[in-house]
Amino acid sequence: MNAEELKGLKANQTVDARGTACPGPLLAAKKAIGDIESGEIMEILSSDEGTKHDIPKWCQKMEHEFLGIVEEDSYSRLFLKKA
Amino acid sequence: MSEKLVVIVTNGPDKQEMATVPFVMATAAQSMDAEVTIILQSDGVILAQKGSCDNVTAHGFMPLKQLMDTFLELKGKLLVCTPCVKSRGISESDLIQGSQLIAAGTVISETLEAKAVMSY
Repeated sequence: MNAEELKGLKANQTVDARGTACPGPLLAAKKAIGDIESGEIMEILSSDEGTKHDIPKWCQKMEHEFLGIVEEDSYSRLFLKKA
Repeated sequence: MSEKLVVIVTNGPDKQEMATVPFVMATAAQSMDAEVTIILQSDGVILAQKGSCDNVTAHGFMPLKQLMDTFLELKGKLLVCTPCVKSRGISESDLIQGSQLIAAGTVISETLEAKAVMSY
Protein backbone atom coordinates (compact mmCIF):
# COMPACT_ATOMS: atom_id res chain seq x y z
CA MET A 1 0.00 0.00 0.00
CA ASN A 2 1.25 3.51 -0.67
CA ALA A 3 1.51 6.23 1.95
CA GLU A 4 -1.80 7.87 1.01
CA GLU A 5 -3.66 4.56 1.26
CA LEU A 6 -2.00 3.84 4.62
CA LYS A 7 -2.93 7.27 5.96
CA GLY A 8 -6.54 6.47 5.14
CA LEU A 9 -6.51 3.21 7.11
CA LYS A 10 -8.43 2.98 10.36
CA ALA A 11 -6.34 0.88 12.72
CA ASN A 12 -8.14 -1.38 15.19
CA GLN A 13 -5.22 -1.03 17.57
CA THR A 14 -2.50 1.63 17.85
CA VAL A 15 0.67 0.86 19.79
CA ASP A 16 2.59 3.98 20.76
CA ALA A 17 6.18 2.83 21.30
CA ARG A 18 7.77 6.22 20.58
CA GLY A 19 10.75 6.90 22.82
CA THR A 20 11.32 3.20 23.46
CA ALA A 21 14.72 1.76 22.54
CA CYS A 22 15.39 -1.55 20.81
CA PRO A 23 13.67 -4.03 21.12
CA GLY A 24 10.86 -2.16 22.90
CA PRO A 25 8.61 -1.50 19.87
CA LEU A 26 8.85 -5.14 18.82
CA LEU A 27 7.94 -6.32 22.31
CA ALA A 28 5.09 -3.82 22.47
CA ALA A 29 3.76 -5.13 19.16
CA LYS A 30 4.07 -8.72 20.35
CA LYS A 31 2.17 -7.86 23.53
CA ALA A 32 -0.61 -5.98 21.74
CA ILE A 33 -1.20 -8.35 18.83
CA GLY A 34 -3.15 -10.65 21.13
CA ASP A 35 -5.72 -7.90 21.67
CA ILE A 36 -6.93 -7.82 18.07
CA GLU A 37 -8.63 -10.38 15.87
CA SER A 38 -7.37 -12.02 12.69
CA GLY A 39 -7.75 -9.64 9.75
CA GLU A 40 -7.71 -6.52 11.93
CA ILE A 41 -5.19 -3.71 11.50
CA MET A 42 -2.47 -2.70 13.96
CA GLU A 43 -0.53 0.54 13.77
CA ILE A 44 2.81 0.85 15.58
CA LEU A 45 4.33 4.27 16.27
CA SER A 46 8.10 4.14 16.72
CA SER A 47 10.99 6.57 16.85
CA ASP A 48 13.52 3.72 16.85
CA GLU A 49 15.12 3.32 13.41
CA GLY A 50 15.58 -0.42 13.81
CA THR A 51 11.84 -0.95 14.10
CA LYS A 52 11.47 -0.27 10.37
CA HIS A 53 13.46 -3.45 9.76
CA ASP A 54 12.25 -5.48 12.74
CA ILE A 55 8.50 -5.26 12.23
CA PRO A 56 8.50 -6.44 8.58
CA LYS A 57 10.72 -9.41 9.60
CA TRP A 58 8.49 -10.14 12.57
CA CYS A 59 5.42 -10.07 10.31
CA GLN A 60 7.10 -12.44 7.87
CA LYS A 61 7.95 -14.87 10.65
CA MET A 62 4.55 -14.67 12.33
CA GLU A 63 2.67 -14.63 9.01
CA HIS A 64 1.05 -11.24 9.58
CA GLU A 65 0.71 -9.06 6.49
CA PHE A 66 3.00 -6.03 6.64
CA LEU A 67 1.20 -3.18 4.93
CA GLY A 68 3.84 -0.45 4.93
CA ILE A 69 5.31 2.61 6.62
CA VAL A 70 4.28 6.25 6.83
CA GLU A 71 7.09 8.58 7.83
CA GLU A 72 6.27 11.46 10.15
CA ASP A 73 8.65 14.21 11.32
CA SER A 74 10.24 12.37 14.22
CA TYR A 75 8.77 8.89 14.07
CA SER A 76 7.38 6.20 11.81
CA ARG A 77 3.92 4.66 11.58
CA LEU A 78 4.02 0.97 10.67
CA PHE A 79 0.89 -0.88 9.62
CA LEU A 80 0.13 -4.58 9.61
CA LYS A 81 -2.84 -6.90 9.26
CA LYS A 82 -3.00 -9.74 11.77
CA ALA A 83 -2.84 -13.26 10.34
CA MET B 1 6.42 -27.27 18.65
CA SER B 2 8.22 -23.92 18.86
CA GLU B 3 11.81 -23.42 17.77
CA LYS B 4 14.38 -23.36 20.52
CA LEU B 5 17.23 -20.86 20.90
CA VAL B 6 20.02 -20.95 23.47
CA VAL B 7 21.94 -17.76 24.30
CA ILE B 8 25.16 -18.04 26.30
CA VAL B 9 26.32 -14.95 28.19
CA THR B 10 29.82 -14.66 29.65
CA ASN B 11 29.99 -10.91 30.34
CA GLY B 12 28.90 -9.16 33.52
CA PRO B 13 27.24 -5.79 34.04
CA ASP B 14 30.57 -3.94 33.81
CA LYS B 15 30.44 -4.63 30.06
CA GLN B 16 27.08 -2.97 29.56
CA GLU B 17 26.61 -3.56 25.86
CA MET B 18 27.88 -7.16 25.84
CA ALA B 19 25.62 -7.93 28.78
CA THR B 20 22.59 -6.26 27.22
CA VAL B 21 22.69 -7.46 23.60
CA PRO B 22 22.07 -11.14 24.49
CA PHE B 23 18.87 -10.17 26.29
CA VAL B 24 17.83 -8.04 23.32
CA MET B 25 18.29 -11.07 21.06
CA ALA B 26 16.51 -13.36 23.51
CA THR B 27 13.43 -11.16 23.85
CA ALA B 28 13.33 -10.53 20.09
CA ALA B 29 13.31 -14.30 19.61
CA GLN B 30 10.52 -14.61 22.17
CA SER B 31 8.49 -12.06 20.20
CA MET B 32 8.65 -14.60 17.36
CA ASP B 33 7.38 -17.31 19.70
CA ALA B 34 10.74 -19.05 20.04
CA GLU B 35 11.47 -20.94 23.24
CA VAL B 36 14.57 -19.27 24.66
CA THR B 37 17.08 -20.40 27.27
CA ILE B 38 19.79 -18.05 28.50
CA ILE B 39 22.81 -19.65 30.13
CA LEU B 40 25.00 -17.43 32.30
CA GLN B 41 28.62 -18.50 32.62
CA SER B 42 31.86 -16.91 33.86
CA ASP B 43 31.24 -13.21 34.73
CA GLY B 44 27.81 -13.56 33.15
CA VAL B 45 26.55 -15.12 36.38
CA ILE B 46 26.83 -11.71 38.07
CA LEU B 47 23.82 -10.65 35.97
CA ALA B 48 21.69 -13.01 38.03
CA GLN B 49 22.78 -11.42 41.30
CA LYS B 50 19.99 -9.31 42.80
CA GLY B 51 20.44 -5.61 42.06
CA SER B 52 23.44 -6.03 39.78
CA CYS B 53 21.62 -4.87 36.64
CA ASP B 54 19.46 -2.14 38.12
CA ASN B 55 21.47 0.70 36.59
CA VAL B 56 22.72 -0.90 33.38
CA THR B 57 21.55 0.78 30.18
CA ALA B 58 23.66 0.34 27.07
CA HIS B 59 23.34 3.15 24.56
CA GLY B 60 20.53 2.52 22.09
CA PHE B 61 18.92 -0.32 24.02
CA MET B 62 16.27 -0.83 26.65
CA PRO B 63 17.54 -0.94 30.26
CA LEU B 64 18.94 -4.38 31.08
CA LYS B 65 16.73 -4.90 34.14
CA GLN B 66 13.65 -4.25 32.02
CA LEU B 67 14.87 -6.73 29.40
CA MET B 68 15.56 -9.39 32.02
CA ASP B 69 12.13 -8.91 33.60
CA THR B 70 10.50 -9.15 30.16
CA PHE B 71 12.53 -12.26 29.35
CA LEU B 72 11.31 -14.01 32.51
CA GLU B 73 7.71 -12.79 32.02
CA LEU B 74 7.75 -14.35 28.56
CA LYS B 75 8.70 -17.65 30.19
CA GLY B 76 12.38 -17.58 29.28
CA LYS B 77 14.59 -20.03 31.11
CA LEU B 78 17.52 -18.38 32.95
CA LEU B 79 20.20 -20.92 33.86
CA VAL B 80 23.23 -20.09 35.96
CA CYS B 81 26.53 -21.97 36.09
CA THR B 82 26.96 -23.32 39.61
CA PRO B 83 30.79 -23.40 39.76
CA CYS B 84 30.98 -19.87 38.31
CA VAL B 85 28.62 -18.61 41.03
CA LYS B 86 30.53 -20.34 43.80
CA SER B 87 33.91 -19.09 42.62
CA ARG B 88 32.60 -15.51 42.80
CA GLY B 89 31.28 -15.91 46.34
CA ILE B 90 27.65 -15.45 45.28
CA SER B 91 25.17 -17.38 47.39
CA GLU B 92 22.04 -18.99 45.99
CA SER B 93 19.89 -16.62 48.05
CA ASP B 94 21.54 -13.68 46.23
CA LEU B 95 20.19 -14.84 42.87
CA ILE B 96 17.12 -13.29 41.28
CA GLN B 97 13.83 -15.14 41.31
CA GLY B 98 13.37 -17.18 38.16
CA SER B 99 17.02 -18.13 37.79
CA GLN B 100 18.11 -21.72 38.20
CA LEU B 101 21.50 -23.16 39.10
CA ILE B 102 22.79 -25.77 36.69
CA ALA B 103 25.99 -27.61 35.74
CA ALA B 104 27.72 -28.69 32.55
CA GLY B 105 25.43 -31.57 31.72
CA THR B 106 22.42 -29.26 31.51
CA VAL B 107 24.35 -26.83 29.30
CA ILE B 108 25.13 -29.60 26.84
CA SER B 109 21.61 -30.98 26.94
CA GLU B 110 20.09 -27.54 26.30
CA THR B 111 22.46 -26.70 23.45
CA LEU B 112 22.06 -30.05 21.71
CA GLU B 113 18.28 -29.63 21.78
CA ALA B 114 18.38 -26.09 20.37
CA LYS B 115 17.96 -25.08 16.77
CA ALA B 116 20.56 -22.35 17.25
CA VAL B 117 23.04 -21.21 19.88
CA MET B 118 24.34 -17.66 20.22
CA SER B 119 27.31 -16.92 22.44
CA TYR B 120 28.38 -13.58 23.92
